Amino acid sequence: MSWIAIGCFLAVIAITLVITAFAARRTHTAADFYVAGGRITGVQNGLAIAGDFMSAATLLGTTAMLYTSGFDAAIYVCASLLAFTFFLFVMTDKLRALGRFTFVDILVIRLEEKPIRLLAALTALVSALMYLMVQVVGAGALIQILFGIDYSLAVVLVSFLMVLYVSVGGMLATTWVQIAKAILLLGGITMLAVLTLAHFNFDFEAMYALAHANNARFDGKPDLLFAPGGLQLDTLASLSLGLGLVFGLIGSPHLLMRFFTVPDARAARLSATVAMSAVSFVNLIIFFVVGVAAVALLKGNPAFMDASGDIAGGTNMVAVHVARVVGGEVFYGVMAAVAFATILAVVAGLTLAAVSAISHDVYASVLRKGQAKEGDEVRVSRISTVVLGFLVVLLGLAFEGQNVSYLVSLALAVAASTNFPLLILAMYWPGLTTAGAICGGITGLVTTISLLVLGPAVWVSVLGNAAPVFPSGYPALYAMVASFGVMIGVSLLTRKPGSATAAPLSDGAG
Amino acid sequence: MAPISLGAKLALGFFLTLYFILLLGIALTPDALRTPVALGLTAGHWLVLAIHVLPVVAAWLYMGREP
Repeated sequence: MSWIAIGCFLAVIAITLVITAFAARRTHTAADFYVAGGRITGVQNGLAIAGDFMSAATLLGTTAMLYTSGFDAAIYVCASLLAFTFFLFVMTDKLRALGRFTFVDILVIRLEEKPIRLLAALTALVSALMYLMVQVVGAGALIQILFGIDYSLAVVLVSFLMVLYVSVGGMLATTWVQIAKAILLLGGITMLAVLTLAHFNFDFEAMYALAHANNARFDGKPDLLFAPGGLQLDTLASLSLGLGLVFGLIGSPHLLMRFFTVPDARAARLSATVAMSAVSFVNLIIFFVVGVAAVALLKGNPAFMDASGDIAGGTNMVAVHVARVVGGEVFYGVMAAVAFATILAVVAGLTLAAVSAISHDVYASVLRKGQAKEGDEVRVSRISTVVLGFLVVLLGLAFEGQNVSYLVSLALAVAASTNFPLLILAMYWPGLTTAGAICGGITGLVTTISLLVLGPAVWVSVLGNAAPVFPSGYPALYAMVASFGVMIGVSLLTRKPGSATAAPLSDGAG
Repeated sequence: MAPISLGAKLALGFFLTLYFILLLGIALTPDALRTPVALGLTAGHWLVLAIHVLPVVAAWLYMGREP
């Protein structure tokens, strides 16, 4: 147990609680709760988006993926840059012009409100829950290894903090926690890179040579970091994983929601640009320095192995172990706290997106037909947050030990096959009908969940069966094809005369 | 709102193409990606660098456009 790490952890929690208390005094209306009153600047929002996006899967999961599977981790890191490019060139202007609190506000401009809000709330909840589960798994492993406390208790602690941030402080607290985390992560990862390179006397070749030797000696795969093959992906699996990651990020409610917090389209563009720059910087450091150093310094090193010969705390912990080697106990504590702050910030954003789906889309818009009092709506948000906390604990316990990057790909598969087709067709294809949207959305959701349950991640790893029913662990491509196909097909069958010649959505006009 | 410009469409298409090259290269032509190119890095590494640097440059240039 590291007392420095504990101190850093407590400092992070204290800072975030102060931010939450500050925000609570400024959160009065529904607009304040959901989108911070639209008063966030472009640069602030860009940092918040970066903070919201760079979850446990970035720092912990990507490093772990490089450690175990080498070059193939490139699919994960590159997906984020494609997603942000798509955001910037295709979506930011329309999102800011057409949306109010959630992306569903855009869908219902031309489609029937009640069934669409219910469907989109369901898909947003499922994808947010799965994404939340990932963060909690990462946080649980982190707290377990640092404090030596039981994984289950760690999961409960993170869920409790999550409920506190969102129910008390809303979007304003979430935004500032994400900004603080982004700054901590950028600073921490830069320091980690400098210390790591200094450890090797700034000799890249020496670092890569040692990693190469360790991969040869302990895995029998000397070229793991240079050559594809670590994940053993066939063509369909590679495409399914890659496209699922890109379009899943684009369809993620917690990222989409961030574009409603800025005052205008230019600020929305600046947000995407700043976020993309920060994410690119962090990704490059992890891919070319930290991940390689993890192999060079940890693979086969008995000081970091547990009794069974695996990495202490699981492979998700290799990034913090690298920090210990290159920076000692103090830096280990700092990076563990940064990783924890990373998780807390994303958890807050995801929770707010899920809760907004319940309180704004279902309660206020459908059940109360747009006549809900603001106080009631915010109250429902807070109650929903508590219920969500319980669900997240259960999921976190079920998926203990799984690689967090892989789990994120599953969560993103849901968003890629449901939210993304709904949003992109609603924005750019006037022929989309309510029936098409509903049938396609349900198809995407059911297909993704079914293939996920029948695949290796659940059928084998969680349920303990010998072999999966669906052989691929990457369902996104199949679910996306099904979703788009049904959405377009049913829309063509149910279209009204003249709808095909209508203009795409612009400035809120239907 | 202005429609998506031709430049933005071309840029997006180019970056998507780079990503498809990565995805298909990993599955179909791993030897091509592992080929050393320059500075001790392979073709795959340079592809990852391109996917991370070029979109950021394009984004900041795009920011100059009025919405």
